[in-house]
Amino acid sequence: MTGIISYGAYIPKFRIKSEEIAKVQGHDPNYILKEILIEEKSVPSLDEDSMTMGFEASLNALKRVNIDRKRIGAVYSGSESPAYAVKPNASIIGEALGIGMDYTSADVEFACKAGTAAMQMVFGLSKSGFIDCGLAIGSDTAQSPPGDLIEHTSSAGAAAILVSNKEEEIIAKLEGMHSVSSDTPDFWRRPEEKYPQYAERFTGAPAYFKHVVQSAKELMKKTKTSPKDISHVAFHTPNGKFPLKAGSMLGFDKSQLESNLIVSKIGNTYSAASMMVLTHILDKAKEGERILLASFGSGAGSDAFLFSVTKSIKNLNKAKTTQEYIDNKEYISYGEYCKLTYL
Amino acid sequence: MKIPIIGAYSTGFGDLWDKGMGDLLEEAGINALKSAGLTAKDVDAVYTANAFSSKISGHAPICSLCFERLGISSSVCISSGDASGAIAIKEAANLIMSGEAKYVLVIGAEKSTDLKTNEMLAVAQDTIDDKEELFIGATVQSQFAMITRKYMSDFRLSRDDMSFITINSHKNGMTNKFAQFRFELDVNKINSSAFIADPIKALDCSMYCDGASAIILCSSGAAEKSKRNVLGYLLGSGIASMPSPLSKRKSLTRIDSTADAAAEAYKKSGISPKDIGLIESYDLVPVSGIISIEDMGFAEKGKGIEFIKKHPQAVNQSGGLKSCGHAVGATGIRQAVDIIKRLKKNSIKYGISNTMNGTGSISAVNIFGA
Repeated sequence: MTGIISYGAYIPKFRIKSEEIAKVQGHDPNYILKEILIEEKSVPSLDEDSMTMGFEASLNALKRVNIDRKRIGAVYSGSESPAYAVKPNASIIGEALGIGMDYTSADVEFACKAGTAAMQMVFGLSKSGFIDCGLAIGSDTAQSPPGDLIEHTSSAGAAAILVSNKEEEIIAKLEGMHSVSSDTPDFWRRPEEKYPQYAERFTGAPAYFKHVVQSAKELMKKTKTSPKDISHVAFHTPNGKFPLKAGSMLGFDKSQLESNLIVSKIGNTYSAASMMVLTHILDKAKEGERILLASFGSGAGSDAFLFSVTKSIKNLNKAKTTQEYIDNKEYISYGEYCKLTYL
Repeated sequence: MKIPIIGAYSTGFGDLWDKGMGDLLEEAGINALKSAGLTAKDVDAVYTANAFSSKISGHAPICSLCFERLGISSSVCISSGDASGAIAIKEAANLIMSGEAKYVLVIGAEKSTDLKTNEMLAVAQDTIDDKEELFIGATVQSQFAMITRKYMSDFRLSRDDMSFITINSHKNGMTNKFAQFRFELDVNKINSSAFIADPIKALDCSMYCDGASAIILCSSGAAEKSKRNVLGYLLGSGIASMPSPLSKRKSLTRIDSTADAAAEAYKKSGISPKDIGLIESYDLVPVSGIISIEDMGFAEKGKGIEFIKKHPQAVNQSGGLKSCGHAVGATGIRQAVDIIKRLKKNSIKYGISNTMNGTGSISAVNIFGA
């Protein structure tokens, strides 16, 4: 048995409105608001990067439970914007959390699904009994070419989950996992390039929808579940439109997909995105509810997980909720945005 | 001139992500052969039409793929930009009329979506003059924008009047299952889209897409002897050129090459515009679709829109370039496939098609009969 025993999120407080970006770049703000459902996005401050945000999210996870930090035997961090090209975020976060040095760690990269790949690694080590507790982090300060439409979505945030195989501690039991991968060149960034490139419409049907729908479908088949057995769904959220469309393709209704719309207020937090939706769901989840998560990473792949919420969720300590982070904001101008993102 | 057409096939046009150039040629070629009841061995030659493969994939000429994919050894590639497909039909007909061949496969293909939109738009500018147009930053769309302004001013038309041709193409394309965009457009939707080159809006422009179309021409003797099922006839073809730079033209609102090509095709076929019931015009942007109708002789200058309003079903019944999508090398042949299919179905005697390279530097007109 394995499952989530705690979780945490972190979102920087600065926000820039789509209207502000649209005004500078000459975009149609109605398209951004109504077609891709993005109102504003988070912006990291000068002293924030994927490592500091990953640390904050992990700290929130540790605040919710009273465990001996030395129990953590693995820290995996997923990001496509690591603080260093060579030097892991994971070991800096582990050190800062004070978990000693008897743990394994590594940084993971798979575009926007690096965080869920880290989750799988921790679940595997935990279920096999190699570790007692493990930490998986997804964190990104996403980059986008100025003037491109993805400038409205690329944002910053982190999410972390703490995993254990002790039944009494588990708040969301892992019922199953399924992943799909393929060589699909929908979005990429080469070494030394400042901004990613993407293949426009190719990022939709043959990339996001094909992989997300397939991983979720296969997982439901494996676990003998159907949309009606599931209370909440967390997808990767490149914008507001994609998760809603993937959900309707799979037969989920709007109420099951509600948490995905946090993207409208914070943007696409890349490696953190689907995990961020999961933290938003866990903040309100009740015993007996089932949660389906399907991430998406360009390149391309999707990791799907099915969780069932246990009664232990009531025993968690208080920590800042994802909604509190979403609501704690300060708007900035495009000029300030340029300064903060070194444009 | 009366060349039997015994096979025809078009792939659907659009974002065909899972098909490469070879796959497109194979699908169109094999299915055209099937519709004619022929095998590759029966075919004496294949004329391929393609505009941009050398720039998109680096593979040119594409006719070498016909040997790999279809097993046809004698192959030629015609590359005349947007007019490639229509010109390949004329060249294939010439080969048959010379007595050199009995059966000729004409196949046009384009694979545009291997490039991003801005890259594809850059490639498509190959169709205008490098020194006098490209060098100063002009594009096909910006040149047509100037032509549109002049047309609107000369004939006192509003921007909304110009939208009618796009609206009509989209309405017609709704029922064409091979068309890329099967939805209706209205003036408001067109106006709310972004400017490409003022006054041309994004929704005025046809989309560079993927697709392949093929027809099989055959000699009259072979058609009779082997009792082939004739789908229709090629009755006349014309090709003509004019300078690409607008500064070298006598008029901005007349495309001489289209008028000349149409005159040649009418002469060869012995048919006049009043006999024709189906028109595939070159609606790359609205103004090119209107001028195409006028210079083929269907309406006086400035009266093209009125003609289309009077005959909405006769013009671009397939959906035109706007609704079908523009798989550049294939479009001239796609028009032929659509006309042949629709002539018999709607009991119409004659149809005509026009494609032009860039803003009309080369224009090709083909006339078909049921």
